[in-house]
Amino acid sequence: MARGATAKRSLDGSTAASWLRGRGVYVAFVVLVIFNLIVTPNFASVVTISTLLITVSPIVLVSLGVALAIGTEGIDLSVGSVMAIASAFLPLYLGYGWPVALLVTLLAGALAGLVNGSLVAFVGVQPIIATLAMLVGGRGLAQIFSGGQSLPVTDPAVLWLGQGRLFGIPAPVIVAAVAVLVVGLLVKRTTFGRYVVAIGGNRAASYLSGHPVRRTLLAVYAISGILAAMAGIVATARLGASDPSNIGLLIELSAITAVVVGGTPLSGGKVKIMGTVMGALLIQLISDTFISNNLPYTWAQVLTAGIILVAVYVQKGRGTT
Amino acid sequence: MENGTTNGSANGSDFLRVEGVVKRFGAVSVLKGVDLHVKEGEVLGLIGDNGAGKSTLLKTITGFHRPDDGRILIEGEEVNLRSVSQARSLGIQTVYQDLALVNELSVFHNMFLNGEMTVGPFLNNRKMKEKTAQYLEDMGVNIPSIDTEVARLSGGQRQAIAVARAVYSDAKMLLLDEPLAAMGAKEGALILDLIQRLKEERGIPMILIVHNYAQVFDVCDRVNLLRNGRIEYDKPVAESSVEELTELVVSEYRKARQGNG
Repeated sequence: MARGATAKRSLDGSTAASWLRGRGVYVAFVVLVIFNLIVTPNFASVVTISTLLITVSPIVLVSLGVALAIGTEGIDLSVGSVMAIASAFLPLYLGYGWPVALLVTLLAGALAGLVNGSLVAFVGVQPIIATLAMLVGGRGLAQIFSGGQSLPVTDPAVLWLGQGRLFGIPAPVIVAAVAVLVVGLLVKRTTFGRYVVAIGGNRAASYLSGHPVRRTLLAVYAISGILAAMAGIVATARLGASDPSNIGLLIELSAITAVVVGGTPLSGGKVKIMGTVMGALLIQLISDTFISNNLPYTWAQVLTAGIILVAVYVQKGRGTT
Repeated sequence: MENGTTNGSANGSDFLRVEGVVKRFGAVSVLKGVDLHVKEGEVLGLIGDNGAGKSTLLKTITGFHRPDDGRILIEGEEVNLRSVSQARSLGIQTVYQDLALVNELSVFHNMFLNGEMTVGPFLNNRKMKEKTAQYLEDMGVNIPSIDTEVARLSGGQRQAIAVARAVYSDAKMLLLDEPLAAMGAKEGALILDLIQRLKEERGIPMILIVHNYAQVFDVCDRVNLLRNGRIEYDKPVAESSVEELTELVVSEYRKARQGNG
């Protein structure tokens, strides 16, 4: 048995599974892009690519938060509902000017995240339950705040966030890219990132070495709430109106898929930011591929399910030591 | 009580004194008034049955549990330990039984777990790597690469990292909870060597929780037995023997069996 373990260890760099573990999502993405270049008409056009990137931006934003939560061996199911809360708040405060409206909306997201985080960190509720409550209750609250109706958003500064461009790059893509950069730096290069990974990897060790475990958990869910609010703002701006009953609906499933396919294990202890971005791109590209080739969308779902299973299988190899 | 002679002597050179420490968990009193002291440069072996409260005692000294009664003095001054971080800032470092390493993190990140070096808001990975390499070399610990995930290392290597981490975070005193548990003879010898060298070269006072009495006599200066929530035996190693310690524990076992019969 010991021999088996050493053999596995020494082969670690070369076995297919472990090679795929880190890079599978990139490989799958490249394969799908090549497939599209050959098969899909007009795939290599600015319009197709910018549409893909604009559509994926809100998913990337919420996936970053979900990746952080999963990194701590938690999860955030509430991101879609927090998007709805953001969508409901945004038009309500535009009368005070766009900076106030954006600030209030982001604060609402942070507050929802703090509620999640408090339940997880201080009350000891399991993350899946705490954020499930927010998933159910959050959308309800969003509809109460908005009076159950869709309000128009006409402020040009806010609309720019969904429809504008800077040097030809769509604004939602810029917002998402900045968020990726910031969260990536947090994870890789700050003590906060170390805390997140340590809490997910070995919570007892984290406590014993004196890490601020509770504060870190609180911050993780608050950050996830802020990112979800950003996604809600972008989606609302793109639509030109708030839509609390539909914005962000089921996006938590896309986010979890992106995170897991991107190589972040559900058991925590690792956060793959670039992998998460690629995961989001991959699942979006799958559904785009099926749609633009007039294939039944249901098969895109089946393929996505297959990719999730492969991703989970490939990750199974880790943690055996 | 078979109280030894050294106990209770108010010695000015005590690094650590624990006086009448009580720790309850609900209705269960695990520690019922523990008196213990460790002199500067002294290595104290702590023995006791499973569940006697050895780990609880260690976690109380290290600020993880707060005592319900009694006092803890460090270098002659009473301290009120509120957190692990506070005990660490006083120089008390602990190597836990489960080592408290994060498997997913590299060797050097584990080495600086909660002692992370930073430049402004960012981690200074380069400096942490340099230091880790230097510490491990100083201690004569051989590890393939400090970038490896800890999960891939052997038990002895993991233990060595945990010890090195404790030593190099300005440790004035080391607490080691079963440093040789689940370790082969060869790896165990490596850790005992390490402890011996820390004692000789740095004179760091230590408390060692051990199960194997032969190891007590290898590295410890004095031995304490924790039983029934108190220190019931306290003798310098020179006046004690493996046989005596074994007899102490076996007699307890016999009593327990008779009680059941």
